[in-house]
Amino acid sequence: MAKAAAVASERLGGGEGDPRFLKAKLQSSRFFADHVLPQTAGLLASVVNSASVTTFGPALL
Amino acid sequence: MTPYAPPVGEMRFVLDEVAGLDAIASLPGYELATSDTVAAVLDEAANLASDVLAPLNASGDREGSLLENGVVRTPAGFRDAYRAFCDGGWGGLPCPQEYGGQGLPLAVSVAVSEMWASANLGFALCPMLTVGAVEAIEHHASDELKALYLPRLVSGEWTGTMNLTEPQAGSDVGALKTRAVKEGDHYRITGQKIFITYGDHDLAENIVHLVLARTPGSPPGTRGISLFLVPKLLPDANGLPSRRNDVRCVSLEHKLGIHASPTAVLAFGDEEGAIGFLVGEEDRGMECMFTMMNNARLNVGVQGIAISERAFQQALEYARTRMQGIPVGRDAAEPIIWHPDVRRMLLLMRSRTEAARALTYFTAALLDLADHSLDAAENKRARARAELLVPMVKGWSTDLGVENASLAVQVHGGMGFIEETGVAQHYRDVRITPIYEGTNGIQALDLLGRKLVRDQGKAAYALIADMRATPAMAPALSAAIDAAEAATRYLLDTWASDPARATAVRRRISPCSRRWPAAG
Repeated sequence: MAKAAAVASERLGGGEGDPRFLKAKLQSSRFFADHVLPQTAGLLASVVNSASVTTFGPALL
Repeated sequence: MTPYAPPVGEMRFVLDEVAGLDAIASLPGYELATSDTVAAVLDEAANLASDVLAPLNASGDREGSLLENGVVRTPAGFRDAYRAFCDGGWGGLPCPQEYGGQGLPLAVSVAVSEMWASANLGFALCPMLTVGAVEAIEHHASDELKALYLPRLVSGEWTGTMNLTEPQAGSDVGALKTRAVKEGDHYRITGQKIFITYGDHDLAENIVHLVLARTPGSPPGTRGISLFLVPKLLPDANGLPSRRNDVRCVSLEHKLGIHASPTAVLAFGDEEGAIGFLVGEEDRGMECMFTMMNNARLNVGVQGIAISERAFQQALEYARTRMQGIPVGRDAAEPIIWHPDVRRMLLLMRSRTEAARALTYFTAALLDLADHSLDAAENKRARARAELLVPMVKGWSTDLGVENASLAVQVHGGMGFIEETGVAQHYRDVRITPIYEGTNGIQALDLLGRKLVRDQGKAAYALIADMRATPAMAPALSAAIDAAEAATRYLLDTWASDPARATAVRRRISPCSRRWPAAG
């Protein structure tokens, strides 16, 4: 997405290509950076800090 | 129902700018894949997908494939659609030219496959499996088998299947029991296979089953499995399908989705034993499977993107036309797209679909590079990176496919829950994709055990270093890359000290991989 965004931004600046498509690509990239990428922090915490599933035996399930 | 509009402009953009089609077209054997040719191929494929395949999606779902009097019938219109598909030469798009294929790069082929799967996933599975069979035969079968079977599979005259699963052998393929006993120049196959996609149908005159089985005295587990080619109808001396082989469709499964695709229970050898021909060597069947695995998993990832795209288009159209209430900050009733929460859902769908597409086409291009580059070092680098990314493409794209299709139902409100609306079908159809071709738990285990541990994170750290070199780095991307690196390090350290603990988090690795597409 970063690569796509960089190309879209360059083309828009140079007046090339379909502006609606390129602007939509920038919108998607921006949204992805603002709303999807930050989820990695929570996922990382879940991977690294949480008690491992191995400590929760099957008996109580 | 919203007609499918293939996103050809977006596909070309991703192929040109993210996958690097120019570099692929400069590889020996891929000279034809210039930007102009590829544009023409995509336009033609778009016509077939939107005009022929997409209109049969809902009716195919309603009718389903049916087994009647021992014959499997596909839904109305499928036979004509398959003929049009074969007449266009589409089945052989990524197949070698020497057998009648087009020999186009995998990167182009995944874009075209995305259109088939968006238009009609139940239909698209048949040619996808045939391409898998072509690959296995091309790489491992004898010249005699290749000469007889490949041209007919590439043309689509005959179709292919993969027979791995048995009732007791799903993810644990090593537990399979189907037996193969040598008899002259062939083997006799006996056993039952389940979940065989397009295991029987009326689209083509013959079906070529690729079957995993054990020979007497073979070692237990995956080391004792061999691969056999078992035609539904045995070809005569002229290669024409003649005598019925001892393989039979016993029943079709009643499934959550992909109703048009017949999922067969196949009985081999109820009478004298089905005649099968060894592909590769005895006990080396799993290696043959591994040859196909990267492409097959990539193609299932593509299905996740395909359904995301189709569901998004339908949700967008609905959100633009459905009037409901006065959105906050507006003075009068407006379509629901004016509601910020609806726009949030649409943006989430579109941005994740585009990110997954970028990662997938990028990975396909790496596989093209790995197969066709003359530079041995580049070759090796590309393969290591592609193999690291393939389980992420499969796991991430298909998980997203389910989430995106669910959001598309949500955008429709109550109408989304009603079958006539059509969006519920996408939600049902896509649900298989995180399961088949290696469940996403298996993908995560592959990522951890094979792709990270085997080279001690070398390929992963190299990719992370390249992502850090992304120009105009956004802070969110930089933080996500840090998270990717920390997770990789944690998993490698934990694997060394406590492997069970590392595998316990395995299911979470795959969603965590959403950081990678940032670099794709």
